[in-house]
Amino acid sequence: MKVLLIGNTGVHHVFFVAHMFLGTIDKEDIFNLSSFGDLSIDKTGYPIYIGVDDNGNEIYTLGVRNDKDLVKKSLDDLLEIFSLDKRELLVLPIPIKGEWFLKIAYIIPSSRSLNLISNLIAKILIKWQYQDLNNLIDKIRDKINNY
Amino acid sequence: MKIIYHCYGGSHSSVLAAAIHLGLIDKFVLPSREALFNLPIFDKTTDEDFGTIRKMGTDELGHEIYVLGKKNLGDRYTNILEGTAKILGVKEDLLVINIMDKVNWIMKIGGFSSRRLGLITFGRFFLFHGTIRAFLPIVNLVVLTKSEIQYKD
Repeated sequence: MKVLLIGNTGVHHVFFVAHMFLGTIDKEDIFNLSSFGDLSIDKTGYPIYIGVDDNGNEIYTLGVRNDKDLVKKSLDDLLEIFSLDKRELLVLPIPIKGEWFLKIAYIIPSSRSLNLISNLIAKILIKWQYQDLNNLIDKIRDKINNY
Repeated sequence: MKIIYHCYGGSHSSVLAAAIHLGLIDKFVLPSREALFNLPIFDKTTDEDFGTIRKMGTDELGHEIYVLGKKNLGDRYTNILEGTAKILGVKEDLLVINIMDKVNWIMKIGGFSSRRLGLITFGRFFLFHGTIRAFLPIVNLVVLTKSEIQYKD
């Protein structure tokens, strides 16, 4: 199964959660996570491959701005028009309090210094809500196992 | 192959493109007001329809034609759908076309007035005139799309 974790960007808290889910980082690694906050990847709109879990599920992240429900609906429909089993794809919106602040990542023009601002905001949000995000990991695992 | 035409609301330009593709509207003649507003879905969507991929029909070569409203997600939406199709292994059977760069301001004012503000008569006046202006660029896009499909076939 392919698992798409979606948020307003795919390279901030969603990216972090995906790596935590796969067990490839811990809390302190957020400052060293390769490609974290790289909006040049995010802005293409393509799913970002993160890795494979213990059960062979491929984990991706995807940035969809503020339109998580809209994108989820389209991707569910996409499965339907191709007559694919719904278990081929699981789309999971990943919330974080203060996500609104991450709008700065896509409403301002891309530049290294402005990216630093959005990355800093994302890191503060992640540090602040680390426990909530960590609690999401079990929920994601449950959703995958029960899908 | 599945072809998805997408625009802001999935109600006007994408529906017109799909209708031209399917031959519901003659591509050589500017459509009348009646022909336009009698099209299925045209100017008939609600906010609930954002994100829903709706089938308009099947073309003469057996390709399924769909329309979709994706708000302000622009070309990004093409990549979201095609990227997801790729990881699902069905990318070769999907073509996603963004119509938004063919949409003029008159159409936008008309569509916003009719769909968002509920000023249907007022909105449709602008929509009709805007659509007539956008007709040839949209026909051109559809013709290019059909050529691309034939090349892929």
